[in-house]
Amino acid sequence: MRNERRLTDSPQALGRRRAGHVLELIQGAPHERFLLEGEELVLGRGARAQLKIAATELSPRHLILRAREDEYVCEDLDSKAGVLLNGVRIHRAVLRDGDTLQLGSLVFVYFER
Amino acid sequence: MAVLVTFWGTRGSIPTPGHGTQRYGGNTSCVEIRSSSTTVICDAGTGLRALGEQLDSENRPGPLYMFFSHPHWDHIQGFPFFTPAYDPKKKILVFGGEDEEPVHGLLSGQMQPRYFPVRFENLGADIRQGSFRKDATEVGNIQVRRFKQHHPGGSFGYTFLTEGAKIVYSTDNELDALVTSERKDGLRKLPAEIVERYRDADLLIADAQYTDADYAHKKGWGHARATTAVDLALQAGVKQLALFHHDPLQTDPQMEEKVRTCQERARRLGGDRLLVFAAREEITLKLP
Repeated sequence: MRNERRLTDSPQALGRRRAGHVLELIQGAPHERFLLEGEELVLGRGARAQLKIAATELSPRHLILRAREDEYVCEDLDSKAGVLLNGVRIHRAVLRDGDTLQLGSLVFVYFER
Repeated sequence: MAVLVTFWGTRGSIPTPGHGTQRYGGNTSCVEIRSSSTTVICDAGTGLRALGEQLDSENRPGPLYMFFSHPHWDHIQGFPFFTPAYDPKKKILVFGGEDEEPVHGLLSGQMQPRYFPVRFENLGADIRQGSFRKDATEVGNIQVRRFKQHHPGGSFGYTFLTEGAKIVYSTDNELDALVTSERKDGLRKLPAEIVERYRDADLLIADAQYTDADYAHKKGWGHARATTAVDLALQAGVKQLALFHHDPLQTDPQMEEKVRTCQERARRLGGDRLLVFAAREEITLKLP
């Protein structure tokens, strides 16, 4: 069984999503899977990030994932390295199954199950 | 401050909601370009409705500037549902072909009582026709140039320059009708004066409705082969090409195939630095 962490910003949010929304770190750091269950989840290297990864190229608050109905919207928090969605530099995007997110040398795949 | 470009509607011809178009979206043409101080809207297809809701939630100050490629339905149909148009505090300037036929009049035409319950003159916002001088104008901190394109009934493309970014909005343009010759490697050559309009764009949003197979029986319908949009981008040194105005018959898997074909063509023709992707609803790009 792969390492998988459930991420939430409040215990009430656990299990609320209909579909399983998963962010899988596939490159740039040890492989890990994150099951997204919160309303607002910050990804970064800072202490207050729910999805905290100790990579110097990440900003302390790099990216936020906001739940909207049964999908997630990601937004760059004016990070230094920026956010590439499927290779394109973005500010904000509704995530779709199979999307890749690149933050510096870290690469994630988003999928729904 | 970066320039932000949001796709609110990417489909051509007719809205295509449903499971098969969920990834790229089913709303018709609408793109927002936002500099630090100025908001520009390209076309008022059905994607405009969601943009209106977003603008309402932000209450961003300043006028809205709307640029119309042409008044076919898929480019104006969202306007009666654009909530800022009902706001008495809002000022909206509409630009298009004011010399031939004011856009203002075309928008009000689709709101005649036989078609829509609210009369154009009863909209709350101050809506006026904007104008060009020698095909150029300036709105807020954005310089705009317009140019004529190849489409039944005519259409305009627009070049926007602001804060170090050059964006070209060029939909409903049958590029293939303008091809002058084909290079040995297959690249379709376009006239130099046309290529120059797109020169060194950070982002080209281009009509790429048809696959090569589609186009074989849709010549003269006013839309381009996606592969010819790639060739234009290569000749003009464009950095990013957003394939736009997706055919209503193309499902998400077919769209993926179209994108792959275009990316492979760009690589084969030496465009290693050209980024090709399909415009997708509710994605905001950051430029330059």
